[in-house]
Amino acid sequence: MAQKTILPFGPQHPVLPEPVHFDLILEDETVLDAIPQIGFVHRGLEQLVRVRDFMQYTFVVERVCGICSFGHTFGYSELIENLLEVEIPERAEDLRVILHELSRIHSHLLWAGLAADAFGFEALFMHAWRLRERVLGFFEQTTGGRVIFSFCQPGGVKSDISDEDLRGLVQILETMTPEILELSNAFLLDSSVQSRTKGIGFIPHDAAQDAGLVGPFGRASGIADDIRLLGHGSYGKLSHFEPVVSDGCDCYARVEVRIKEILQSIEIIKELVDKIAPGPVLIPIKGKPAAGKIAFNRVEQPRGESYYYALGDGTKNLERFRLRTPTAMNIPGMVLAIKGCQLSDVSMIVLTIDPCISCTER
Amino acid sequence: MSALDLCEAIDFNAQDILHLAHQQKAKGMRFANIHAVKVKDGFQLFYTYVKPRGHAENYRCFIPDGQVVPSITPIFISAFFFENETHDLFGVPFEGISVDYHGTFYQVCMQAPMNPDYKSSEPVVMNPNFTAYSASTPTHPLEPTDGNQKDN
Repeated sequence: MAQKTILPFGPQHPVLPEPVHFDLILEDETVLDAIPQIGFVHRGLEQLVRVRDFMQYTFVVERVCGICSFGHTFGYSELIENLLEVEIPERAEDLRVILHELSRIHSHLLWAGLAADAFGFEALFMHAWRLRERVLGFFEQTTGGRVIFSFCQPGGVKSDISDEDLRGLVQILETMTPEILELSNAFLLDSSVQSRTKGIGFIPHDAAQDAGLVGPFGRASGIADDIRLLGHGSYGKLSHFEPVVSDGCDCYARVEVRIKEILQSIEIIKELVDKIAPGPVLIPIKGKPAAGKIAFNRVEQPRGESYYYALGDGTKNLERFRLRTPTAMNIPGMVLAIKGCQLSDVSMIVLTIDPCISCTER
Repeated sequence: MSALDLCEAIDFNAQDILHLAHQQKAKGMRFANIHAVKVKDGFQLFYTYVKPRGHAENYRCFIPDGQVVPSITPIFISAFFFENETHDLFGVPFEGISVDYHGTFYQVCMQAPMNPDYKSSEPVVMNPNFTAYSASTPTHPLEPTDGNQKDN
């Protein structure tokens, strides 16, 4: 007769990039249930808003996540602009979206490398991270930083990126495209990758909808939702945008969605470089958020929807700031995906969800 | 200005939290967030629901200090993260959370760190036997071994 066992998994594990713990309830090698536990790296960053003024806080919010660093300053800056009812120059909005999409490429390539490493496919891991280096190189060349580059701030962006540099970026992306297609072939056609991902971590569309999954995790279960559809910022300038969706509902579908999103982001950047508006990129921010005034914002980060809230108190400090990252919505889905799988697949399932626990705890 | 959603919240009565959640579920809305804001004598609780491929709706209610809030996890399972978080950081008590960590969701060394008015019914002490496993894992007092006694 099969015996039930509770197996502690994490928070430290070779394939887990971030600290998350599961109590896996096993019957032989089959996972019957999983109880997640986070909370190992809570940093109290929301509370810091009472100590740092709303401009200084841009640097704090950038450090919420090492991968979505630009995306969080993008979301926070828009939030403060909503709070102060400020219009920013069109070129600044264009540059923000270009850099945000570049961040998506670097995030997905980073994830692809980690996934390949977890498969034990070392060459693929190195190939993915080699490509990511080109994006980081462009960040360094134009902003001075590779991951944390403090480029976005309330009022616009810190400095302009010349049209020549932007044309150089398009050239970089054009040379990267065939290599990303090769990478995509390895991820999507290689039998060893398929054996670790196809039919594993299955979440049907209805269950995904009930659990409220966001980002590539939700889109891989057929949820065609993406905040970029609403056309905020310069996304409204795109001639056409439809999210990448798969109805595979398994780990393989999550790989497929992310790889295709890299190619989609390249097309978005090319289109915006063509359409970029001339003019200034920063306006001075004057005034303080009025006491009791609230603002909300949402941004489609590489991992999904982020939610921002601010409450002014009439001084240079905010009364309250709230940041909800995509992983907070995806944790119930992670448990759903793990239930019923084999123990050896748990690490792969967790990885294909791409959780960012440190950002979730803030 | 690039405001994506309306920068205002719809006020509702705290007694209608479950009714609102049922209503949103029936409308096909997705649950997106709960967060608390400390105000005089209580909290504002914000509930956010998002229309698929559409805009967000933010709802706000007032909860007096000490009032128990009904959990919406039977309707939206993903709310368990937010209700446990709001309990641990603000001390707002929730009733009926489907996965209740009873205050061990965040490993913080003080109770309700984001609520300066929080008055604990019990003295705050660090548990020397704390283990970082989930609520379901039974914890046992650590018995010092011979080896430990020698080290001491």
